[in-house]
Amino acid sequence: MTELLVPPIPPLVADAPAPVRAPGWYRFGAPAWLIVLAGLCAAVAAIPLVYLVVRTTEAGGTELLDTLVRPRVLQLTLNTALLAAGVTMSSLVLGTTCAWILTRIRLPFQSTLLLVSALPLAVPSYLAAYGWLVWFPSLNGFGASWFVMTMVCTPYVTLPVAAALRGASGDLESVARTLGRGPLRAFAAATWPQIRPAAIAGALLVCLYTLSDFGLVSMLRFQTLTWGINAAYGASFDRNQAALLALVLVVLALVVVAGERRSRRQVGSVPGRSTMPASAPGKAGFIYVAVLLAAPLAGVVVPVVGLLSRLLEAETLRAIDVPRLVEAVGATLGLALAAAVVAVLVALPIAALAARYRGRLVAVIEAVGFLGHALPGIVVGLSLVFFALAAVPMFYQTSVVLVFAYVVLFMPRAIGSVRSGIAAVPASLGDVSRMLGLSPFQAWWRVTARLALPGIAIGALLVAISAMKELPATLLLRPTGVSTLATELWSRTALFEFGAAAPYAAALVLVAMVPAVLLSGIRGTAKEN
Amino acid sequence: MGWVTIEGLRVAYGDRPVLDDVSLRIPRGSLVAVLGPSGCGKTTLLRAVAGLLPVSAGTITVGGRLVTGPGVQRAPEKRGMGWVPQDASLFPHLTVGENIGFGLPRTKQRDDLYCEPGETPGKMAGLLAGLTRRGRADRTRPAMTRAGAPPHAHLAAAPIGPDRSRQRSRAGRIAELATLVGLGELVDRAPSQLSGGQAQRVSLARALAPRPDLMLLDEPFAALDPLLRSALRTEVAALLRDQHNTSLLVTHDQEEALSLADYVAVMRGGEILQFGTPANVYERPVDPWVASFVGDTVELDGCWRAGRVECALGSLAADWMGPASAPADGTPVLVLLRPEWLTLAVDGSSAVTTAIAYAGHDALVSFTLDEPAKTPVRARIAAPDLPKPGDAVMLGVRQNALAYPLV
Repeated sequence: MTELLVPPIPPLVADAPAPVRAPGWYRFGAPAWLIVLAGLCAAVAAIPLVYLVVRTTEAGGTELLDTLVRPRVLQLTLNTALLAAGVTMSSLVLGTTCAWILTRIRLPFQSTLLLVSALPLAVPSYLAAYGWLVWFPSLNGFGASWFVMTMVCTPYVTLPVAAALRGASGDLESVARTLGRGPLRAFAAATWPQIRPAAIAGALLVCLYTLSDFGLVSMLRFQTLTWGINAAYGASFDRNQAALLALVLVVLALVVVAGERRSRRQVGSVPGRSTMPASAPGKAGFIYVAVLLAAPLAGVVVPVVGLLSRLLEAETLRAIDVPRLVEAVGATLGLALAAAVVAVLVALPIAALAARYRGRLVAVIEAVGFLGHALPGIVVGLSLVFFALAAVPMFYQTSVVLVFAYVVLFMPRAIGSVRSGIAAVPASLGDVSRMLGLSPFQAWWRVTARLALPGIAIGALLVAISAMKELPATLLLRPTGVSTLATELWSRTALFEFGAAAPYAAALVLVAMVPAVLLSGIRGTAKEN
Repeated sequence: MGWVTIEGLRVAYGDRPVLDDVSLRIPRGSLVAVLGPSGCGKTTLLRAVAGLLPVSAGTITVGGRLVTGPGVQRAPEKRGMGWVPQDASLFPHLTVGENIGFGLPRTKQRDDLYCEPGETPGKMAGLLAGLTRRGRADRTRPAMTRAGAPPHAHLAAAPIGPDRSRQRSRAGRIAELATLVGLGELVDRAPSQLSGGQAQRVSLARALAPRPDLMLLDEPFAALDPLLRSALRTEVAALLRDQHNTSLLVTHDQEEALSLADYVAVMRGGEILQFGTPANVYERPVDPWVASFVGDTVELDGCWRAGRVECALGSLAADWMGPASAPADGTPVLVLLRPEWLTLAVDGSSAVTTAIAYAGHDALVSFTLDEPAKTPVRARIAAPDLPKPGDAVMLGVRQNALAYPLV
């Protein structure tokens, strides 16, 4: 279940010393057709960014500079950076603490606690904001945004750090203790370097999520760049400014990604397999549990209870517009399904290339494929509005462009899991099937694809879940007259119609659970095999 | 002429040559071991023969069929070769029986694996051949090593043997092979339920099932524990011989190569240094490196004098192993002996026992010679005759020493 919610993070601790030649790699270059195909697929992901840059520079250098130094733009940028920095720091501290408690303290129902601490990830940020607004309609501004966002984002740090802590060798910390360090200093000196890459990777996710968040800050009326982009776009006379703000946001996101790359120091894996023993909670037990439960309480329980309280009001139940609700569910499912299928198809060549070959070109293609990871939804949405109008007007305001936006945004998830699915199939199986008389495509179909199927299916489901919850790009790109659960929820909350929004919020939670259940089924059978 | 002929084969990873002008002739029905340290290119050779990687130059023919050559790079699935990888590589989603039957045709109308040489023009494109139906003809002509066939430039890609057209029923063949490798009971098991040795047997049966013209074995026993390894490899070698298979085995284990193979090719740095029978490679290695790679050696400085060498062990009958004819008297040479050529003798060089590495059946005993003082030599001595450390003994030599030019 937790894999479902967190984008793939590369493994941090190798299980075994690296073999002389990794079994999954070919030492020869990839076939040209595969590189071309993967390159084309990656190019798809680059369209929004490239077009945004083109469009912005068309406006002219002086106008660009003038707009850039307007106090308004600076204010929005500062707000965005402040919120991202604040949420990242607090999530990092809270998440690492939670991970430490989860792995080092012997609490009852440990696996349940882990699952519970992952739960906030299942709640889209705007749903959490909606839930809090139901209780406290006057919530607004930086403080509220920072608090709710932190609670929603903390699991992005908790889960990878807990996994890294579980894999970290306890021997080093024991050695540090025998060399005279106290528990805290031993942890800092011996264990922190081992879990640091995981913590930073988690912090990166938090930071990107906060930068690109639109729903939560809009509902809580904290004016960040995403809010500004939407506002400038809505005031249709100033689309250049929307494009410029989007560019500023993209630059912020890319700076964060680059910063993470630089600070991701390679830590040699430590061969020791012993882990630190978990200690008994003692008298402080309830404090530990309270810290653990803070995020799930604030991120899930409060919003969901608020949602239910509104939903079960007689007035709400009477006012439910069933045909409209069904229509929104249908649109949400249909779009998500289309996005999942297309995203997996586009991701397949990139994943196949990245799983079997290395080299600079392969790395570039894969990195471009992962671009959507750093692009905020609203930026992709905006850029595709421009792109569709200029290049393919017949597709403007059709589902085609919206599905395309989903594909760009969520392709990284598909690439990640399809790639690890393919990489888990030893390349020697392909060789063996060739030697037994299968053509390359037969070998791929009957062996590699067959064995990588769970990974491919997981990729599709991850994309589907993310597409269902996506808000800003959907708002910009949805065909006229088509509403998804997310847009219905948003437009009603924006008008403070919390009761009317409740059915859509509830439907969204339920519908997003379908792929989650499917996913746990796949994982279950995969484990049995 | 060999059943399998490899001529002037070159393979390069990028700019780095891995195989340099490798030539090898494998007689029909024989088992040839390619022996070399890791990284010498032996696995690359095997993969090039299999067609799993592109070659930059050279030709490979099997039973008169040109499979790799100028303008020809037949796809792996069209070569009629069997492949047993190091880690067995069983298909995890298939049962043992389905694994064995993987290479057997599913229907009678199966496309043949035959194509014209010009159809698949070399390099990576060749690896992707087999995508089109063009050029696949029925394989009806009997395979023959055509006596006196013209040089390989004129070699037609002749069809492989008639065996496959006489396919018995699929299920029958699977059962037959499962029994052959001693796993008749296990055909319905999943590969994950097999031990390492069993998995390797299934892998062997799977490769044998389509009756390949050439079996390629890539260190198939390296991943097994030592006891199982020696038992299984003897069994596999016997099985391959019973089936009259021509086999190419790659290994870094000299004991494995010497005990199993009909011929051994010693490889180093992408070149074949020596090709010959195991006894030939062991007793008459072409250079000191091959000598020490295939077994223990005793190396002494010496001086050539009319068919004998003068060294610390006295004047010994010797064979000149250098490239040219025997050198002039008085030329300094490297004298090389195998430890088992030294014996405890009544008359010989006097020495003192310094250490004994006991191995049960025999022991590798270190001595220092009295004259010239402190020269260490080692001898392999049968257990009943072992001296004790510190004992003074006399050492004789019972076989001609080998003399190599100094480098």
